[in-house]
Amino acid sequence: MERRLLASHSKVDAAISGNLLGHRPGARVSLYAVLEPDDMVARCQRGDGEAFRQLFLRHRAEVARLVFRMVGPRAELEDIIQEVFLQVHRSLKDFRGQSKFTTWLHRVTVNVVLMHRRAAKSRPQLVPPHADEVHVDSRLSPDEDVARLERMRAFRRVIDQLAEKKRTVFLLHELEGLSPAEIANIVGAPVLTVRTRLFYARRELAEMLRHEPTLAAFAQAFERSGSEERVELSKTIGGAR
Amino acid sequence: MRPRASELARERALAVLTREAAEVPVPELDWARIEEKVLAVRTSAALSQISAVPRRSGVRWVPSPATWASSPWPIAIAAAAAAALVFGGSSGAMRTPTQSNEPRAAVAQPRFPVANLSALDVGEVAETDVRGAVYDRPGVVRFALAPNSRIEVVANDIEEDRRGGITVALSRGSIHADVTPRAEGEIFAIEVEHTRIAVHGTSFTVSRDGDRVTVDVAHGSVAVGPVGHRGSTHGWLVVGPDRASFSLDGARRATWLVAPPDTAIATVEPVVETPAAAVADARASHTKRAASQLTATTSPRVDLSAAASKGDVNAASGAAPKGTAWGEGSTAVGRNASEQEAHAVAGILRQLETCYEKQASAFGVRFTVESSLALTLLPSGAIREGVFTPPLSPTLMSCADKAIGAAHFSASDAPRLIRIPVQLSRAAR
Repeated sequence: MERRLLASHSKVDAAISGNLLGHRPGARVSLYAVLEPDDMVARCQRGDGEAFRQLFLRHRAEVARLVFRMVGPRAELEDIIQEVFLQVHRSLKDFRGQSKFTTWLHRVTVNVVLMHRRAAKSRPQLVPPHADEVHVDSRLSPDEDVARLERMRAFRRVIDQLAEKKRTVFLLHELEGLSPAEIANIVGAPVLTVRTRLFYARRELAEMLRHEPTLAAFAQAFERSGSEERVELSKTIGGAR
Repeated sequence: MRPRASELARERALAVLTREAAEVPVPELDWARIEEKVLAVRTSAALSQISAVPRRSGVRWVPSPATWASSPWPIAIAAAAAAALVFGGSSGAMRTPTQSNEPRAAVAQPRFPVANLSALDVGEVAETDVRGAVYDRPGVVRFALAPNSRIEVVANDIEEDRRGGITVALSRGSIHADVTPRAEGEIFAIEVEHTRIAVHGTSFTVSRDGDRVTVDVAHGSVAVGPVGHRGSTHGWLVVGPDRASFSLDGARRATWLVAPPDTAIATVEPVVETPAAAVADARASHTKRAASQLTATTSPRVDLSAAASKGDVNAASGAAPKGTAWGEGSTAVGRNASEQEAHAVAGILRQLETCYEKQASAFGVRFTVESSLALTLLPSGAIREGVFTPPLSPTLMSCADKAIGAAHFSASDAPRLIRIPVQLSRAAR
């Protein structure tokens, strides 16, 4: 940690003299723009308010994306993102640098989302409109976009039916593109367990498509299509990446 | 065993669905609001911790952004500057505005460092993090900058020109100011983007909240209008105790936040001269307002529905209107007004003349005022709004507000618009 701080100080000195990152001598550069993530975290842990703000600015997009992938287009999206960063602020002092900060941030985000989902279960739910009742103004959107929108709604409903652990792994892997090893770090499970959850998540989802009218029709379209793409399909959906 | 065609189709459908789901863009988020909340809660959490460390400064002095951009080095400067600050200054003298329905900025925290306002040069930025700060100019103004607030000094020429006074631009957070009453000029003003809040002597709080600025006047009065009229801010006049929210485009829109218990919050559009618009807002009555001089494109407003709805019937209705003002300039509706309306108009004009006389005497000069007063009347006869075009001076406007607020017209079936030409001059008397 001492070495890290020294490195940080040298960057500060360089920032003052303007010799960092090719800036012309005498030019001022923002310290926070050149800080490594670890240095930024160290500053946050020492109570540097501006560092925390910069941390927020730097990572808010990825947190928002992850939260959105996990909860979907919900009204409380902003509240959850806000809660993630508050939790980060509360827990940052416990971050020991044993993993990458982004991995730790993902873990915090996943935990906040899961807590939110559990809390939401105990609250009365607003029933979303049934697919048949959804009014889409076809004058405003092309047919394909409308169909895709409805597919995504149905797919979200199906994903929500998955068990929590399988759903989390599926979303992190398939939608966020995280590797099983990264997911293992985030959810605190062995990599093999992650792969197993992923396998069963896919299988269950494929089965659930049959019971969701919109998605069943979508799948039937593939069934009607030629068999030339089946080999490629098997490769695509095969094992975990 | 080869999978069945239907299974393969579902797997393929799942792959496509997954890809599509991964491509769904994250919706637009209100990052400003999220950041504000995150940092605000963080600040409040930190406040409780830092209260045990009394000698730490929460003030950050940031030199001009043009040269220092977002450099953190002002933190170091702040530490040095904080050493020169006088600690332990209590802001207990700050008055907390009353009658608010929303939480106020916690600017009156004890143990805020007190800085000499004269030390802030034009272009300098003062920014608070987890603690607020108090700036003081003895005998002029003392203001508290709430935690997580940021101001830039726009003018600090009180020594050279009292008309300019002290002006700060609030880009984030909240300011609570106590301004020592002065007869001359605008001694202290806060600008939030294109909206300027100027005072002569009052206790008030200005908070920036996204694309609005909330002005909370404990006592005294402040003028709110577009920037660019330093020393003579035109627009709305908020008389304390009261609270209003304004748009940042020069206060073209105003929302009155403090209302009597039995009234609702109403939003007033910049220019409302149609009876239809009056009907739309007639359900919401609100407290009395006055507008000050306005030379911008928008017209000032005198919103008086609540005053009228309170039943403050004009007691000075007896004399007939003077001259030709009432008859010649009124609309067809106005010409058919009842005797009561004529008396009400006469009362307004009489009061305006009194106001004019007072101001003319105070100035010791002769001047002429030519304007037109458009009154929007509710069916009950209450005055919903009064607009002077062109506007009067702030002093005259404030006086006119009282005169118009006391007037009451006869009831009718529909809202009405009455135009009253106003000509005030000593020569005419």
